Amino acid sequence: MLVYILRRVLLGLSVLLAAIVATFCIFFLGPSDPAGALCGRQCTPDRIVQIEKDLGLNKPKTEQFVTYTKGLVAGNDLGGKKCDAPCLGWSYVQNRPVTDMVKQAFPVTVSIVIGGIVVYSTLGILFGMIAARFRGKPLDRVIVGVSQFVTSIPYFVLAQLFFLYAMVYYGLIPRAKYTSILDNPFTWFTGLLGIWLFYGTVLSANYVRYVRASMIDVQNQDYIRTARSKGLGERKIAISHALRAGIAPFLTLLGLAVAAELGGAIFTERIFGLQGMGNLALTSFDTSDLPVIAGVVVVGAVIIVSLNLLVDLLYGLVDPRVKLS
Amino acid sequence: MSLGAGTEATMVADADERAPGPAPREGKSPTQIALERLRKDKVAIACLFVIGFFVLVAILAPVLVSIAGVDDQLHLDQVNPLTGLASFQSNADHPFGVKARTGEDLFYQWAYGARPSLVVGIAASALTMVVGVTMGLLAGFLGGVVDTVVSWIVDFLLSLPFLLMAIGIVPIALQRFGNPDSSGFIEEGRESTIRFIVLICVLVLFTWPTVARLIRGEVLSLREREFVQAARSLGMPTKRVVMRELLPNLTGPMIVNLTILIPAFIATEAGLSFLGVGLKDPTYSWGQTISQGVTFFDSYPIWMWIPTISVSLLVLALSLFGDAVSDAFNPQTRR
Repeated sequence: MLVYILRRVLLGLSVLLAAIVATFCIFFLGPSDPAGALCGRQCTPDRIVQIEKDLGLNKPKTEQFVTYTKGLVAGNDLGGKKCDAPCLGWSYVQNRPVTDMVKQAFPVTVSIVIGGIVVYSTLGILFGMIAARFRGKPLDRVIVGVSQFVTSIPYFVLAQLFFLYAMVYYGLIPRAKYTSILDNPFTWFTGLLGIWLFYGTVLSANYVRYVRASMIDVQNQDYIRTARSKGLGERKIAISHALRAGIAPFLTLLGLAVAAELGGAIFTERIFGLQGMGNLALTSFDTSDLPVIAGVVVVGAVIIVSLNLLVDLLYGLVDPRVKLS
Repeated sequence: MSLGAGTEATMVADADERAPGPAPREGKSPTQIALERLRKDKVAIACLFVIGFFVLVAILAPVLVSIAGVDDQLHLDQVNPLTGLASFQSNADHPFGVKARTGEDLFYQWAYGARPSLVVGIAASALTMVVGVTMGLLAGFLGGVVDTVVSWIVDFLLSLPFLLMAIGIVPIALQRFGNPDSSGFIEEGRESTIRFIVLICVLVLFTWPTVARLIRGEVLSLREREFVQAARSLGMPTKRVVMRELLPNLTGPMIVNLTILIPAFIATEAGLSFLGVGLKDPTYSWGQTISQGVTFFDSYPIWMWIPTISVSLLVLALSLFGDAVSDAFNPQTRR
C-alpha cells in the first residue's frame, strides 16, 4: 500500500515538473521575441527593456528557467516588483502580480464547479440507478434517450440559449452573480443556484449511461447473487451492495472531469459572465496578456495532477473489490 | 482472415444467413457483421442523411452561393444606418439575412462555414487516430522501456489543461509565425491560416493520448491470444504480426473511436471559435457567427439561430451515428 502511494506520488511529481517545463518552454521559448510577447498589445519600447531586465531575458535559458521555478516555490524579486510565492509571473498589461489575479478568480471557479458536482453526481447516480433498475422498460429508454440527446448537443450552445432565453429574455431565472461565501453565504448560494442547476443537469447526462452500465455490470456479480439469495430486497441490494462497486468507475470519470473543469469552467464563466479562471484566461487572450495565461495553465496543471492522484488513492476505498498493490 | 474477436458473432450471423438466399459465404469479419447490423438501424440511417446534407453543403458551397446569388462583399445599403440592422430577417436576395452594420450576407457565411467544421473534424480525428494507434501499438506490443515512456507521455499530456493550453498556444504561434508588424498587426489571411493549423495541432496533441491508452489496452490482451502466439512462433516478422494479425482485430475499436472523435472535434472547434480563440475571418465558422449574432438574439434572431441549429444538428447526428456504430460493434452492451 505504502509503495503504491509512493509510486503514485512520484509519478505525479514527475508529471507536474514536466508540466512546468512545458509551460516555460511554450511561453518563454515559443515566441521569437519573448519580451514583446509578454508585454501585451499596447507596448512601449521602454517597457520591453524593463521586461528584459526584470525577467533576465538576455541571460541563458536554463538560468531563466531556474529563476522561474524558484519564483513558483519561494517567490521572486522581479526587478524590484515583489512577487510572493507562489510567484506565477507579472502581468505587464495590468501591472500587478499574476498570483493576485488568479487568487481572485480561483474561488469563483471552485464555487461553480463544486455546486455543479453536487448536482450532477446526485442526478447522474440517481437516474443511472433508476435506469439500471428498470432496464429495458419505457422509463429506462426515456432516461437513456434524453441523456443521449443532451450530451450530443454542444454544451456552449445549450448554455448560450439558456442564458439568452431563460435568464435574459423571459427572466425565469435570475442572472448569475458571484459574492464571496465569506462575505455572505446566502447571496453566494442564491446567486449561483441557477447556474449549478443548469450546469449540473446538463453534465449529469454524461454520467447517467456510465452509472447505468456499471450498475448492470455489477448485478451479475456473485456477491450480489448471494445477497439476493439470502432474501434481501432489491432496493437494499442496490443501495448498500451494488452502489459502492457501481460508482467506482464513476468516481474516476468524475475526478478527471472535475480536474478539467477546475482549470476553467470556460464556457460557463464566459457565457454567464462570471470572473473565474477560464474567463481570466480569455480576457488575457484578448489583451495579449501572456503571463496571466501562463499562470492559469500552471495552476490548472497542478490541480489536475493532484486530483488525479487523489482519485487513484480513493478508488481503493470506494470499491471493495480493488486492492491497491 | 482474422480470428480473434467476434468468432461467436460470426457463427450467429451465419445461422441467419443460411435461410434461402444465395449460397452461404465462408464467414464474415466482425466489421462486416457490424455494418450489416448498422444497415438495419433506422436512427443511424436518418443520421447519415443529415450528415450527408451538411457534407453536400460544404462541398457545393460555391455552387450554392451562386444559385442564391450572394457574395462576400459589404452591402451597406441593406442596413438601416441608425440601428445598424437590416429591415428584413430573410428575403429572396439574402435568404439567411445580413450582418448588422456591414450587411455581409449570412447565407454565404453559413455555406462556407460548413467547410472548416467538417475539415477540422475529419482531418484532426484522422491524424489523432494515426498517432494514437501507432503509439498504442508500440507501447502495447513492444512493452518494456517503450511502454513506460509512452505511458508517461500519455499521463503527462492528459494532465495539461487542454482548453487553457489552446488559449495560450494561439497567441504564441501568431507571434512566432505571423510576422507581426511593430503594432502587433498580422495580415488577416495569414492569421486565419495559422489559427486553422494551430487548432488542428492542439486537438491532435491533446487527444491522441486517450486513443493510445485504449489501443494499448487492446493490444495487451490480444498479444497473449493464441493466434498471435502462433504467428510469432512460426517466425513471422514483428511488422507482419502487427499489420496482419493485430491491426485487423483493432478495426472495431478504431472505427468506434473515430465516430466519437469527429463530433467531439466539431463541437470543440465551434466552441473555441465561439470563444474567439478558434477560427477567424476570412475563414468563416459557425461558432464565430453564433458569437457575433448573440448580441442581436432579440432583434435579429436569424443571425444566431441558423448556425446554432446547424452545428447542433450536425454534432447530434454524428454522435447518434457514433453510438449506433458502437452498438453495432459491441452488441452485448446494447440495452
